[in-house]
Amino acid sequence: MNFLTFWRGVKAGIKNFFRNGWLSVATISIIVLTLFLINIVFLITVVSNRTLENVQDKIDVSLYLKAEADDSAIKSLEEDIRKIAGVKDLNFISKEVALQDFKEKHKDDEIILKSIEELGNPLQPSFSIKMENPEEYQRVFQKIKELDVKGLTSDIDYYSQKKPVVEKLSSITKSIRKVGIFVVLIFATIAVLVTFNSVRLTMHNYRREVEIMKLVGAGHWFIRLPFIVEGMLYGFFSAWISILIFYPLIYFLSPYLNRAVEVMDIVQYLNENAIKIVAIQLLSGIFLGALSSLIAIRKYLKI
Amino acid sequence: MIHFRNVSKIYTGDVVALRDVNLDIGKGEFVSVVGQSGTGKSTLLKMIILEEKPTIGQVFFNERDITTIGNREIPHYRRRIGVVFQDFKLIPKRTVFENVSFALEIAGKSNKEIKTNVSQILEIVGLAEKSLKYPTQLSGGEQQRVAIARALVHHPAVLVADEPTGNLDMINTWEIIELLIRINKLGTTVLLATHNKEMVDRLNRRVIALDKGNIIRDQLEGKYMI
Repeated sequence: MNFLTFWRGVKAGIKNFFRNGWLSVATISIIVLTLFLINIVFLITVVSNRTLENVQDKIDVSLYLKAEADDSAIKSLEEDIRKIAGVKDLNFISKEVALQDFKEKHKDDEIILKSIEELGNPLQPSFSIKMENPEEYQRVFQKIKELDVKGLTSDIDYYSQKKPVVEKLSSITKSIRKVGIFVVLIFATIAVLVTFNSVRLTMHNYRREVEIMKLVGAGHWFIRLPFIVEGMLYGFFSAWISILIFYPLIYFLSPYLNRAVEVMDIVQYLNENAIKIVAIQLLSGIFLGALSSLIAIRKYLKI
Repeated sequence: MIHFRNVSKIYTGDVVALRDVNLDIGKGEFVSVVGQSGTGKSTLLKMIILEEKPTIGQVFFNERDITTIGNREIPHYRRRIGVVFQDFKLIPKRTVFENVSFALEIAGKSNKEIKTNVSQILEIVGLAEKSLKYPTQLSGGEQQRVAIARALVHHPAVLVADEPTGNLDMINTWEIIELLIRINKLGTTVLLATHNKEMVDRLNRRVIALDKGNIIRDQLEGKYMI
């Protein structure tokens, strides 16, 4: 197939597309709906990921040290811990600092302040540790236990209080992603089926042309090309329409969205990633369209 | 030019369309294939345009065994053969000119080449003035002439015509036959399947008679006899 025949095939596809009229409109509507849903799911995933990251960032784990541990031993343990992969940040909190924090926290409670005065300083020094991925606490603590040959550590307050929170949030994020992918897959399947059906109808309308093409010696791909082009055009136009609905809608809703979603500025995020989002839309739209045509060709275009 | 060697065609359900056919058709011949419906005329022609392949045997076209031609090569092979059918097979949404140019478009010819060739062939079939009309605006005979023009526009060596006058009245039939004779005189081999007795008798050319898939007669200046 030379360029001239290729271009003729493309032109025939464009012509088919516009001749189909309402059929094209109906097909595009369904693909637009699919792509729009993909956008929404995508946005929800981004927001929930951000929320999780945000919470994870705020969570630090206290690793309590024995009161009698001496400074040089603590120092060397601190350096060892810093070297463990996955540790993002590490802070040493001495007994004195811990006491100050405690007093600050309970400054309105006379009884507690009085009793702590009487006790001296019952608090333990500790490390406050932040992880790159909070789900890795188990591994990191295991490592710390191995490194702590002198038995300096006494207690970890992660498992008791913070672990359930992180795990819950992380499982919610995962479920959101799963449900999202599921919804997208269902709609993508519907979109493929609808496009497939439209291309099939075009094939039915053009069966005489196809028959004649075969008789006068048209190449296989020359016969197929217009149908593939038609499918791709459905995707192409759908992608643009979906973008043209999605962006203004988000702009319009942005005051409400920003109030609801504190962790990020959605409009800013969409603007920063505009090229990426448009490209993904276009590619997935065109891909879905071409895929549907190829299925229809395989099934119905007997060459 | 075209040779059938021990060709048999058996469709599923043991329906025998052709039985051990041996046949040689030379360049420039005008051959009528006659016989009642269902005697294998169409099957014979379909083998030449590769719409059917023999169950047993070989078919040669210019020394090449076309039964071995692969799927990808079929389009190129078909461009060397023109085909005309009883039902014309024109595209109603295209003008006469477009219906004919179609055959050249798919072969990747330039627009200029297409214009020259199509005008020329429309002149030959006598439809130059109707090139902008649509098929529905033409008579049956004219429509068939468009189909013939389309079949001839890429200068095939062979024209295969399967009952080309089946849907036409006497006058139109004669127009078509005269056109086929003229095309044959210009050097194209013509293969005509028909059961129009009068036409065959008046042609006075080679006649091959088929009955139940067998060649029962092959005469150089034959009459329609079954």
